[in-house]
Parts: sequence; structure tokens; C-alpha cells
Amino acid sequence: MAAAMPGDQRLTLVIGAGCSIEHPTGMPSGGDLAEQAHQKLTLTRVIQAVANPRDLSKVADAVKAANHGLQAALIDVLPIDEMRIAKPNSGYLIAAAMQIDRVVGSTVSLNYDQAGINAFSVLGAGGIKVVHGIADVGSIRPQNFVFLHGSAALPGEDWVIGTDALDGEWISTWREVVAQLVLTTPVVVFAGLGSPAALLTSTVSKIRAALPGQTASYLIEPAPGRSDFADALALQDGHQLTCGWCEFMDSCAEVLLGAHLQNVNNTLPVVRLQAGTVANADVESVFDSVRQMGLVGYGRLRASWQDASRGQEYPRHPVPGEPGLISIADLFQFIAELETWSGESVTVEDSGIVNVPTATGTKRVVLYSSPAATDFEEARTRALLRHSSLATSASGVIVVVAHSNPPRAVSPPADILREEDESSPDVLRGPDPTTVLFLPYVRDSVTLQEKVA
Amino acid sequence: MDDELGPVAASAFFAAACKALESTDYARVSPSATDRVTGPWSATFEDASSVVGVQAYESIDELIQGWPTAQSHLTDLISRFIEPSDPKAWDGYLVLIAPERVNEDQLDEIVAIQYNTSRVRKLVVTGDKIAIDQSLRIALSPLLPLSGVRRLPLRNSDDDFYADVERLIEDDGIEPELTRLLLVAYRNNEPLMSAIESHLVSAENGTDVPT
Repeated sequence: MAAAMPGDQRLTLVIGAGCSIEHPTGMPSGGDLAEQAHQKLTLTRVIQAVANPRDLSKVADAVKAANHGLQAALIDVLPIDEMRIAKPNSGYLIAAAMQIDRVVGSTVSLNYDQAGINAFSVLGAGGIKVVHGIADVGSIRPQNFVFLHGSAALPGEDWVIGTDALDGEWISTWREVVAQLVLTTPVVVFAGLGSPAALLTSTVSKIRAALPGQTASYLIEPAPGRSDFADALALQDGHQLTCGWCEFMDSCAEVLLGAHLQNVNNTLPVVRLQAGTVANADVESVFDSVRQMGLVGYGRLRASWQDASRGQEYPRHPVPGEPGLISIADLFQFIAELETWSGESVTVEDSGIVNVPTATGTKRVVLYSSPAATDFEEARTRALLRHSSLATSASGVIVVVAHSNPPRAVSPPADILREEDESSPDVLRGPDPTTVLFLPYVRDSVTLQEKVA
Repeated sequence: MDDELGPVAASAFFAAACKALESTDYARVSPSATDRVTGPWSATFEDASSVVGVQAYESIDELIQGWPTAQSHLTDLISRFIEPSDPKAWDGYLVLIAPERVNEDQLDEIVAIQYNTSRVRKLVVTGDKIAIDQSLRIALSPLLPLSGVRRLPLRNSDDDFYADVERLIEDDGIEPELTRLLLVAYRNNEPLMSAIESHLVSAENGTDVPT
């Protein structure tokens, strides 16, 4: 679990078919996939029955033997479309979040399904190099998602699926080079792998021999008892953990989230010093709200606080020494202050809404941090765009803009279709304009504090 | 995106938009009036009643990301020289240009920008080499004089005005007698079709139409 701390990509994940079984990915296990394919292929007389129909590589060997070395007939009976659009389960989402936070350097997938990279799309994150085949190797980065055996995005003949390909054909190919490159990290975690993969076990042995005592391997195995893979990897005792993929990743997420919040907490004194904040605000209750939403939910919350560029909706969590950490700590401090001013417990949603209970109902406050904006006016425009969907209900919302220059007097109207003093909403013009406030001014003004809490 | 477009096309269409505005009553605001620059293809124009900011981008994505900065720039400029009570403060326009076709993913955001009524009105010009020329004309049409309409000088009397109108219509090749009859009918609040019918009947019979 120490490897799940914010750091410099010290962890590599190696994942297999077992990771794609859990809901909602719902792919069949390697054995089930092989058995289903075997049944179709024998029924259509493409192949004769094989001795072990639950071993996909043996089924592939039979298909190649019967089809002049071609394996397309096997690929044709596999659920290719389902593999391509496979929905990521929570384990995959957390793995993607950990890779964005640069805890995980690379993920090596032995699966053909694309649930692992689809997780990045679900989060709205980019910056990861996806390696499907040799054509992608030239542009490999410090952070990669490597399909070591090919993927559903490739033509069927490019899949590594037969025993020859799995056992020896990888030697001195790009696969061996990439495996050596990405597996050379202090910690490698293997999960969801059924049978030993020669490329992996051989590579890990070489790295371990070259860097004695500097690397550690762990195996995540749902069934108790030492597995064949553990033996093949020559794992130390205690390095095989008995738990499921999602359960393991949940634990990693809890550790990483705790580390992030600890870093935020350590930064609060700087925020209070800079802001001159004296409110005796209890940030711990805000941390509790964030712990409930989990690592991925916290990432979405941070995304709602900032203006992400297209395709980069899920922001990396800053580490100590980066100015972004002070900005995040400032927003935590402000939410805690909202609680102090209202005298009630506030709730934080991962959409960014802070619900502040008041005597007359609940006020909805959203925060927006915009250090890159040239002035408050630009930050205000971007905040309103970011939260435009919230303003469509009659109850309205209060947007608090942080980390921009202070607002100045503006001559053009807030809305060219609405008089400044029009207060009641109607169907044609829509709801009341959203109130936009400058965070430091709220801290300094009791009137504004009463407006938000 | 068409790779042949980009910087060259952005500068060309920025120049075209500036030329279209400068060919009318708009005057370009000196860059020294503002202390902020939002890129190489940025300019501000002003006439008696409105202020227009023009900003060109290389791509639609840049436009979507960058327009709040351009609006902030224009808003700041207007605010420094024009009081909120001045009607001109309500007549700000931001012309946003990108020489690229809008794809399906971008369409909602482009429409949202066009319908965004905060601070100033947004006029968005996008398209490929052929489409953008037309798009530019359409987008700038709220700012430019109506095409094909000749301006008449102010006249002291109705008679002078109608004499000018008669001359203009005559220039377009309409029969002078018919024009005169129609103007008389119009000024007397009589049906125009009856005047035309009388004129045609008279022409057929070779008689004069009473005025």
C-alpha cells in the first residue's frame, strides 16, 4: 500500500482477464471465453475438439493448424464489439485516476478488451500513451497503457494468442523491450492473471537479477492458496494478496485519497496566513464529505473547481510544493468557513455543489478557481459557463470565484437581454442571473457571508 | 481540420473582417488604447453607436477556449472609456473567427456562444475557405449597412425627398411616367395597383392618365 502514495510513478500494474469480470465490465473469464469460442468452432466444424477447451491459446493453436497458420476464424467468434466498448469497473477507474495522479507509471494489459483505456475516456482524461502494437512504441512516454498481447482495436492476425506467440515468439521483439522498460519500477502489481505468462515472468526475473533488492512484485489473487503464477514469479511470502481486483483498487484509492487530504491539511496554515482567515473552521468535516465520494469523486470535484481544457476534464492532484495545492487547500478552507457562517453542516457533492442549510432552505454554492484568467471578468465568464447547467433551475446558484484578480467596475450589462434591476424570473428570459462573488470579498464582508450562508 | 488552413487563413479572414468594418463608418481603435493583447489577430472598432471587437483563431477549439478572454478584453476596454449609463455600453459586439468547419462535438458549444448574451453580443464566423466568405458576410451583417441600398441625403421637404426617390427609381430603368403616377398615388394614400391599372389602360388606348 505504500506504493499507492503520491510519488513519481513508482508502481506498475499488470492486469489480466480477471480484472474485466467484475461489474459493469462483465467480460467472461479467459477460461469461459475459450470454452465459448471452442463450442462455436467445433459446432461449425472449423476445428476438432481440443484436450483443454478452457485454454484460449490451445484453441488458437487448433484454429491455426486447421487454417494454414491463420487465426481469424477464432477472432471472428470472440465478442470483439463488446471488448471494444467494455465499460470500466471501479477498479479500472481507480487505476486510471492513480495513473493521472502519477502514482502508477504504466499499466500493462494482457487483455484484448479495452475497458482499461475506456476508463480514461469516462474520467475525461488524456496524457497517457496507449500502445496497441509496434507502431506506437516510438512515441512511448513515462506514462503508458500497453496492450502487450494486442487489443480488440487491432486486426485479428496481430493478436498474441497462440502458444508459440505466448511462449517464445516475443523474445527480442518490441514486446520484450517494452516489458523491460515499464516493469522496471520499484513495485509491480499483477492482478487478474490466470496462468503464468512467460514474457512477464522472464522479464521480472531478469529485472530482479539486474536490480537485486530494488524491486518488489505482488500478486492479487481472489482465491486463497499459493498460485502457479506466484511460483513462476518466485514471489516472497506475503506478496500474494487474497482479494478481488476492485477490492484491491478500492484499498489503494483509500490510501491515496488519505495522502492527498493529508497534503491539503498540511497546506492549510499557509492558506490561513495568506488569507488572514481567522474563522475557526473545522476542515475535518469537509474531508469526511470528500472521503465519502472516494478518490474518483474527489477528482471530479476538483474538475468542477477549475476550467479544464477539452479532453482534460480530470485534473491531476498537485503535490507539495506546487501552487495548485495551496489553491485546493484554500477552497477546503472556504467550505469549512461556509459551515461556520451558517452554523449548520454543509454537504459537498462531486458535481461541485456545496449545499448550505439555512433557516429558509438550502443555498447552493459552487466554487471556481481560475488562476490562469487575466482578470475577474474572464474568471466570472468561465465560471458561469462551467456551471451553466446549474443555473437552469429556478432556485439559482451562487458562484464564488477564487484566485483571480479582484473585480473592477464594468460598463456593459451583465446580460444584454435583461435590465440590471429586473429581479423576477420568467419563462422567456429564464431564471434569475446567477450571483457571482469574489472569494476574498466574502471572507471580508458579513453581508456577503449572509448571502452565501 | 484542413491542414492547409490555420494561421494563413486565420490572418486572411481577420483582415477581411477588419476591411469590411473599415469600409463603413467604423474606425479602428488604436492598440495604444488598450494595455492588453489577446493574440496577433485582435482588433477593436468603434462607430457612433457601438464598439466591435474582432478576434480570429486558428481552430474552433481555440475559439471555444479563448472567447472569454477576448470578451474580458473588450469589456475592460469599454468600461474604461464608456459609462454604464451610456447606451453605447449596451451595444458591444464580439466577432469571433475560426477558419475551420464546426464538427458535431463542437456544435453545441458554438451555438451556446452565439446565444450567450452576457456583456456583449457574440457573432461567430466559422467554415472552410469557401463557406467562411459567405459566413463572414452573414455574421457581420448586423454591423454593416444593408447591401444594395443607396443612401439618400437628408432633405428639408417632402417634395425634395420624393424628387430624389423618383430619380433613383428612374436610374433603375423603371418608366418615369409610371414612377410619377405611383408616387402621386402613394402620397394621396390611394391604391397603387389602381394607379398601375390606369396607366396600362391609358397606354393601350393612347390617352393621358389624369393626375
